[in-house]
Amino acid sequence: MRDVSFGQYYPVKSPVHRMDARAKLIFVIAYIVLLFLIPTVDSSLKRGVSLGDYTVRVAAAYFAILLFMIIVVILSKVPFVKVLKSIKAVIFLVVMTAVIMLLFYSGQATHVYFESGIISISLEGIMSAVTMALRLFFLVIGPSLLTLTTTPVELTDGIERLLMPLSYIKVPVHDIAIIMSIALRLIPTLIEETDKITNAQKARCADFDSGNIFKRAKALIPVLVPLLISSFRRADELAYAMDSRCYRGAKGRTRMKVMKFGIRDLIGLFVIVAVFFVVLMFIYDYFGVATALYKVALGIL
Amino acid sequence: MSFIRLENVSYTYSKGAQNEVRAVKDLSLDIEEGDLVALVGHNGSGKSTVAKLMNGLLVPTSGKVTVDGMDTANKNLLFDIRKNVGVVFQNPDNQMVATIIEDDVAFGPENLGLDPKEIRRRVDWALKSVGMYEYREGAPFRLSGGQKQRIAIAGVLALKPRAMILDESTSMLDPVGKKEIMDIVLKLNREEKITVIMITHFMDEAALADKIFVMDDGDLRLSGGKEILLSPVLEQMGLNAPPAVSIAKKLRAAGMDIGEVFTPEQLAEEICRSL
Repeated sequence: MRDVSFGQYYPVKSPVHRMDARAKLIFVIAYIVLLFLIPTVDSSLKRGVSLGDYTVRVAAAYFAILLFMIIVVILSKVPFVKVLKSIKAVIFLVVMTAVIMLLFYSGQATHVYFESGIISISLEGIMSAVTMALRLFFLVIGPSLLTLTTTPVELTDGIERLLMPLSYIKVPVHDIAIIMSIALRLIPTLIEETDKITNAQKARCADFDSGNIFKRAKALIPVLVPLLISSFRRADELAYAMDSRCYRGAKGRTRMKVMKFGIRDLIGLFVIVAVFFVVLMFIYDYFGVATALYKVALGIL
Repeated sequence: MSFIRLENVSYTYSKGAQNEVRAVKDLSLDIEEGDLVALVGHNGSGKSTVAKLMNGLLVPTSGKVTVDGMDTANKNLLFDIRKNVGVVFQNPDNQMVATIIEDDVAFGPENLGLDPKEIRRRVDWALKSVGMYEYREGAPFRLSGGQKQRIAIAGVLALKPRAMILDESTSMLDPVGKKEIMDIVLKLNREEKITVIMITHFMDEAALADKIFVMDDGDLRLSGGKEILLSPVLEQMGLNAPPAVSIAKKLRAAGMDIGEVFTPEQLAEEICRSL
């Protein structure tokens, strides 16, 4: 079976695993917001922050986030390799974005190395490419750590509870949650099935690996059609199975695992607030922390 | 009154359309509580449709199905009917709702609206009954077919139904998996007094039942105790007698003194006795 790290639960017992799914969801949202609060090169330059200052501040901020993530990963007992594997799925996107940033940077630039037509490579461009790559990297790491430490059931439960207020305006929150959890549950099954069908077609001399991109896409049709048909059949049977296990939507349904916002989650809340504060302190140079750091760095160099 | 009763039941798929199929034709049968029943027939005989009729997944086109006196045509009673009659289907992969085994088993009792502690008790009990308790925190898709099907049985068992229908539940399993499932089912029938209805085309499984119904072309052909496995009508319908029965027959023809047997164990005993 192909390796799909994104969205795969890693079953160990750890403080991070035991946290309330709702709390974890909120923390991940806060974490994403934090990543977007780190300004781009261009906007900092416009605010009158020098490139040197900016570099130090952003480096300090990302270092703080990195340190935080390393601690979380260690606490979660998920191997680092497993976490990094989630990057594999988006590595192309990260590289592409960085390259485009590098080549087409159009903001203020003082150190231009190369210029030809719309392409220009400058120190500012390099910086924005690096920060963008870092942002994307951390953007993927956070949510994938969430799915590695939270079972899909807990996750959908958490989303369901968090969105509960919406059910007052007739949003079918429970149905959305159950659809999500079944989709997650079927991913490995469908991957297995795709492999099986692919092999069956290969055994009948189907060729998936040669020709141009259109030819290859066309070669996938004999895989996708049976896959689609069998998915419908599966859905039908699953519906029967759910019906005969007394499913009737959210009506009168209780849960085996009751969520409790505990002391662990409170500590998590404090930590995330602290990280938020530290990062902003670096970025916006509160109390002159970043300036002091800059001087120290200069001193060492 | 019998626990599950089918009275002159017919069921037609896509009624009125050109491709309408009469899967069940004017069928009547009674199943008593605590019975171990086998419903046999070859593919297309309508036996799976009967399974779906028994807990209201399908409502008969004509006739009446009652479970403990409750009519399956009454939508308000469906919840109570399904609480009493659970179905284990053929493909374990298509019955799992959750990614973690214990969460999947909990799905049924959660739908019943039970207290979290009671759900936990039932899930633990159901998983222990099928011998999968140690796996409770794992993911089902790494298990063998037999193990997956045991989880599916636990999922139904956690509802504490009075009857369990196994709709070709062993047909996708290897001999080891098949035996695992049959052992569990027999144990549940014996110890928990759960009514078991096995729908199968394997005659060696049918040989374990106390009562056997044989279906052909949507209709009931034979019904009775194990003795009907000896009936020549079975072979006319293209169903083979269980291996133990046909071996005994051949041994008898070869001059050995073999009594009436239905299972491999009985056959072994008879052979030992006659030697």
